[in-house]
Amino acid sequence: MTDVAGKAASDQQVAAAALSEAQIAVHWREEEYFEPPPEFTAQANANDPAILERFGEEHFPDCFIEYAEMLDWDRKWDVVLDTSNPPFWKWWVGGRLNASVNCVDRHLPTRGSHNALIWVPEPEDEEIQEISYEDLHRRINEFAALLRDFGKVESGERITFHLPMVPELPVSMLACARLGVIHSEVFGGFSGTACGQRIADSQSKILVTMDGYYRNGELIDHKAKADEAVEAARSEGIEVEKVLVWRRYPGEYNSQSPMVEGRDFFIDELLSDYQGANVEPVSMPAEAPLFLMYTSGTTGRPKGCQHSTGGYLSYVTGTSKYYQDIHPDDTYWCFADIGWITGHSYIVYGPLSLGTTSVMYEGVPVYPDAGRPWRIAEKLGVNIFHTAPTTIRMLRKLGPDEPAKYDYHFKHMTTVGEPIEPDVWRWYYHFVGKGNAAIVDTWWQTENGGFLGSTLPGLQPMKPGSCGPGVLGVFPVVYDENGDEVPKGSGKAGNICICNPWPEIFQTIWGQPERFVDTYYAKYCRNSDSTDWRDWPYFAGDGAVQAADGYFRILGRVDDVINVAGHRLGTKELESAAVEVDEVAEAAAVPVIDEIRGRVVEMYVALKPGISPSAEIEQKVSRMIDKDIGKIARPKNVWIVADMPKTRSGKIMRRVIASISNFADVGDTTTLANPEIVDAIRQQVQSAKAARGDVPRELSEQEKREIAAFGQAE
Amino acid sequence: MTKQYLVGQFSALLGDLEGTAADWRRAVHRLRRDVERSRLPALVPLADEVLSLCDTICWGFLEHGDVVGFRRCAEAAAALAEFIESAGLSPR
Repeated sequence: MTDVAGKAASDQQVAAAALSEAQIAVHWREEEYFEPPPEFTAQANANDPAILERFGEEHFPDCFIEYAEMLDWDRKWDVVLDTSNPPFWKWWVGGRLNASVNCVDRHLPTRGSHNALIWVPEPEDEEIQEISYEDLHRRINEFAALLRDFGKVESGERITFHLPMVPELPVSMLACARLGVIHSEVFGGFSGTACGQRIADSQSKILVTMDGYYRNGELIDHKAKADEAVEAARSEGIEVEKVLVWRRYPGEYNSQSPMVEGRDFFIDELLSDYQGANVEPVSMPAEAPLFLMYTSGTTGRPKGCQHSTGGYLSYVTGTSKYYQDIHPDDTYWCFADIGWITGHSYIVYGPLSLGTTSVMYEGVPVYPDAGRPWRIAEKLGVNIFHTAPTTIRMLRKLGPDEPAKYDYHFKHMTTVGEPIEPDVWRWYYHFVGKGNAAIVDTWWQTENGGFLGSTLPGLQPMKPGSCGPGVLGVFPVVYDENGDEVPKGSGKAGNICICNPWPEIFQTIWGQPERFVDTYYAKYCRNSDSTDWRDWPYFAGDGAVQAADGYFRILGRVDDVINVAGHRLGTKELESAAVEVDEVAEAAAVPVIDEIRGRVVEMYVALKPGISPSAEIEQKVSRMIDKDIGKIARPKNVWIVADMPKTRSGKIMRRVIASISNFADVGDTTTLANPEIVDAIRQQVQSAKAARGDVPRELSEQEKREIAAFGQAE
Repeated sequence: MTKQYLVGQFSALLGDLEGTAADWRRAVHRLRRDVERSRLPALVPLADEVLSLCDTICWGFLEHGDVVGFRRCAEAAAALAEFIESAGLSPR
């Protein structure tokens, strides 16, 4: 090959590499399907396949009228979807309604005495509170009257809550909704400073808080944070005029923080002036903001996701009905916090809109022990359960056999918030669900308001680790960095986007419309002058891979990769496969320079106590990786070592073992907790390689730098 | 994903640690502020820092012979370690 031809070929290779760099290669084993139980399908709200056609692309956007019709409107809409000012989509334009009426008032004639909320305090010996729709209606009206007359708030103004998981939180939310006041709840566990920053950004003049609440057996002083919050807001130019304090035990004050005269007020004392009050609900335009929900992740101005009234409420009602399969007579428990979007949508607004009973729990999941959630489920007859993978992992670790001890029966379960590993999903299915529940593994974000990816529980089979297809009326697509579609079934991953608007998409970032466009639409917008929604795909910011069956698997964090013959293998996948072998306690995958394939994988494993190394275990690890990921990932060597070189915080120093495998300088080992292990591993590995004649050549400078930097992707 | 709750849980647990941390309160407070402001991928290196700080604080109590302080801190640190592992934030 001549130099010119060689260069052309090299340029092509570089271009090809650049294109393949745009698509993250993922090797996932396709999991088996789990069909929903027939008895579940028989009673499911969505069990007729015709629903899939009703929500097909050709029926967009009118397909969502089915969701809007689930609500009571003061005035129906004139226009379903206004796209005249992209990407600031407007749904149900011309429509008017009230969220509080839809969640409470309209249920009074038929379900007034039924429980709207059941609140479980953290202390197990404290009485559970059952709050009927009538009770809830009364409490909302009284607090709304207080806000209007004492708080002097008007429709469109903002109030910030910094409340834990107590019934006063949905009461406060729905009181605001009744008045058309925009509420902004800050997660109770956040610091006062974080709360103050959100108060300032939303320009709230009132903060609603609580004196204390139970957390892990202790009554936490929460009111102290209110003082920090007021101070933080003041430093940003916003003066909080009133701090309204709910008391955990009315009449008792459980905080060391003194009440500030003229600023701080006990709500239970003020409410005596508003007993029996009835506040006329304000009929709000569908596009009026209902609430703000702030996300973290910025050192600058906080990001307040602004959600509408009509679009949001229609979507959470529809998805609660079809994807949570909530019926009015169910007892539904979303084991999350209302401080997050999951709680707003699927503890308060969605379930109450459907007139069901929604359970709330004050405390930490494993207090006083890992059996607590299942005792609650048994006692209350919970039949729909909803929680996050982190909680599932914790419950699985601390009490894997606990669910079997309790007599509860879930017909449906949800997992939300993060990707869930297939083996954790299987524990959830077999042990928590007892093999009888339909599971929905849902994908969505604070910005979306409701589910974007999920199986329909009565119609579509479950696949561990996959969220499923796009939900009804939502059309996801995976794009690479160049904006080209990544074909389904290709095994390659990219950025998951949503092609079309949906009713619940947030309206904007509060006060920051340019940031809204830049963050979520600029990346893949095809034509910024276009008013065709097809030119404005929504960029979700998550990586995903779409299987041949159309199911999406959402990726976790970006990871170290080892490039084996052009295949990029994630070290997390390799290590996850290795630890599936029973004898293995921990694993670390490292790259080794290889003349033919560029790089190959070597796997280091440490065994569980009492287990002796053997060739059989080495083979088991290789076979597991082969099975889970594929032959391309099979390690060249599996080294069973006594321990891994680690920092004092327990972090495995992968660059040290990568250096050993490559006969390179291991570099600085002074920060290791166990520096003596380095020489032991070096002796073991390098002498074995030398005995086989497997000693690599001298590394180039670039290769040395690559090995020295390995394991520091974050 | 709606991973925002991981930030919140992390912050809440750091709040628990802050309550036990005595002379190290400011360091814990700084990390808590960083967690509340951080993008999700940054939680992993922050988790690493948190575990390292827990180690430092616990050793500090022991060096001062403060058994009660050590026990309270160790409980808060254990809860943090449990959460970090369950949330997949374990330092690599």
